[in-house]
Amino acid sequence: MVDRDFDPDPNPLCTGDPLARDLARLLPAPVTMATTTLMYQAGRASRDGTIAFWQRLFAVACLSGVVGVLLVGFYPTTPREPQVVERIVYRDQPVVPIELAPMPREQVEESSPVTPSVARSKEFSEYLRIRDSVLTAGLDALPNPKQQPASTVTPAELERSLDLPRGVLTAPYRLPPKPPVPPDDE
Amino acid sequence: MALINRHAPALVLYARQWCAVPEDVVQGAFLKLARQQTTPENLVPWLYRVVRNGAIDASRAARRRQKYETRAAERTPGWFQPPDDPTGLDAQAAAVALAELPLEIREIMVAHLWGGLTFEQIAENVGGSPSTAYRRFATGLEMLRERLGVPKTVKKKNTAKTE
Repeated sequence: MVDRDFDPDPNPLCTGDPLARDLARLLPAPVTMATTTLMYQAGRASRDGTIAFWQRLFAVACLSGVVGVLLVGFYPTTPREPQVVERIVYRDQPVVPIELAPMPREQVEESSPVTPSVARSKEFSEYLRIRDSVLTAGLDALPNPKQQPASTVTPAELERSLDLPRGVLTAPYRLPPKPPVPPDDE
Repeated sequence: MALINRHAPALVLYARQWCAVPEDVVQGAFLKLARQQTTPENLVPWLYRVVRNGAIDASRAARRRQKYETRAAERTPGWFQPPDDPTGLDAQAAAVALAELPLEIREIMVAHLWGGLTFEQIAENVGGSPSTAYRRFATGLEMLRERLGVPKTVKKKNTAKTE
């Protein structure tokens, strides 16, 4: 059972108290657990541990085999054929200035739907002259509108054309008459 | 088998400091030892550590049902066998006095006196330094001395001069 030769004060820190020695001489109460059952359970636990170890080893081996088979099955052993991959590649190109060729006069004249009678008129000839000047020299070639003669329409003619009362446009501007002042009671 | 016969009673006494089912805890510790692939290097301290952890877990479960500490003294008669030497300590009185010690002192005294663990091994299991474990052991010894009424023996120094 308990080793009675045990010295309770093996440590040099301990002073070898007689009370400690007397206490150590007291025997702990005997255990009530079934030693045979405990030994049986311990043996079974040890066996279970051994079996569990081999089970784990077997499981790891099976898993490794499955992974190996999957890798061999899915990994291509023959070299792959070259695949054509389409992708968009943006490349910088130098910008070439576009030179616009001047449009020939004949083409411009042909594109205008001008009837021969209109083309012979004096106004149309003047229009073509001004247009050529503008196309050649820019907007500065336009004639000054101040140099144009003023309109020859008289106010009387304008009143008639607009159905206005007579003398409306020719009468000078006057202030409206004052309203009558109301009589003060006080 | 020899390991069980040699250490089981002290381990049960050690586990009894925490829980009311010390045999189950010790049995679980031996079963855990059987499941080990390799035997622990320091077997006895390892057993005491496993028993301590198991007993603390069991006491936590038991405390949810009842207050264990208040009933510690009621269970002390089963702690020790009656001594063969009538001049020795009263086993029941010693158990009662031991049960009244604080737990952190009591576990060190049981591990050292009946488990045979050194203070270094106790410190590894309990936590702290060996000197702290020894200090608690000495404090517990003084408390037991007062409660058991054992006079303190003064060491006589050998001061006699040889003539």
